[in-house]
Amino acid sequence: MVEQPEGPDRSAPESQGAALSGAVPMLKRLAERMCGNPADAMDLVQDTLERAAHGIPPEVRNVRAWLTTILQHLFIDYCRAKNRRPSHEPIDDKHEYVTQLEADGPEPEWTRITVADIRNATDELEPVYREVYLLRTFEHRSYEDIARKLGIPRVTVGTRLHRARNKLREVLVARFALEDKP
Amino acid sequence: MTARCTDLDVFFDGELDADQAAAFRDHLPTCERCQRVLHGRMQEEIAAQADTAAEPADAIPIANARAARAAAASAAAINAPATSAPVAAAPPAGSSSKPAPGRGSRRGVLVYLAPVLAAAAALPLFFLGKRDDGGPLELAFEIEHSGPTARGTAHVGDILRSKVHGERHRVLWVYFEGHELVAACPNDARCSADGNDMVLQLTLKQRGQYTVVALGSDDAIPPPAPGGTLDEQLAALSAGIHSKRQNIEVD
Repeated sequence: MVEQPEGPDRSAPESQGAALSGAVPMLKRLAERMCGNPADAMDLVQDTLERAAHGIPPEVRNVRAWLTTILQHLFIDYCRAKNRRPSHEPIDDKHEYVTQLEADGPEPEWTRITVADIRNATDELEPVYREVYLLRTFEHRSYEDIARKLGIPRVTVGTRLHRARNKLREVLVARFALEDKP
Repeated sequence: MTARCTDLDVFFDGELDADQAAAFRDHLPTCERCQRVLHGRMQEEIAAQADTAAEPADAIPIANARAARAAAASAAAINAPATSAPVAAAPPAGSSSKPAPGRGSRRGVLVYLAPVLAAAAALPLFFLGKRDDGGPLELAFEIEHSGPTARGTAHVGDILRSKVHGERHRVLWVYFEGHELVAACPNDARCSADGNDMVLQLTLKQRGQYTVVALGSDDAIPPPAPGGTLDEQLAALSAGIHSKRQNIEVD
């Protein structure tokens, strides 16, 4: 039996404000990595907060997950607005980090998953993937740093991370009553 | 799936070089699969960061993009003539919605504020709005015009800078047309600390009336409840909260 993490008490304006402001560091980290420059990242976070300021829908159980979804939608809009190339790209571009992508699988119900669940799930990973994943996700090490620490090529870090995440998703899918997505 | 899809994880980790990252950003809107996988990656990350994400609010770097851009733009125009003027004090609550006399164009004021704004980018984004000594509540504002404008008017695209001073606790709200909450400091990324002052920098995006309200009190002031009009929010405030109010008409 998986316990549902308790969400914030959205009936109290104070808790709404706290929930939003508490999520800002996480949103900012995501936005900075994806936007590539701090100014656009902060605009993205700001736009996310502006959307959220209209009120947290009553059905939302996990404010962070909800905010992250808003951020992602706005980020795609941002990418679309900045699009500078035709959608049909030459396939012979240099791709240093080519990894084998599996077909789409089901997603776990992320809003129910806690950090402890993630840590527990990493026990299912092979050691070579687990150590890379832990260094990246919980210690925020760069690829370069991880490569140096483990004595592996930088590109291998990316490959192992990709495999670790896919395996982790499988584990979480198996552990949490998950919806199937085509 | 295209070759670009294989860059998703490395892009998500911020490890692609600038050109490759830009190419992936071009690709993303065209690829539903990457959007789905990216969503999963983001959700996984916030689940994994749940404990560490609860950082103290006053440890958040401001990185106020708009302020940084204003600073950059101002720095680029460093040779332009500037007419520096003091921040205008807001009249008391209920004053006219017309722009205050003398609050003319301050385009170029930020030329001299560029170092200040650049420094502000290193200040905490969220702060508690506390000060040691208190003092009367004061609200001030200025408009940075984005283009040629008639003196004393604000236009869409202009930047409003509001500053609140005084009281032990203070907040700053901005409403559009009296019912749409546009900004609520300190829980807003556009808010920053300037010494003991709270500063909001806001781009005016719509034509109509913006109302800036500063509230101060010895006790904590709750954020506005979602959905309420400004008048409803003010009516619900407890005794002992002081307010200053300023209307700004945007053409």
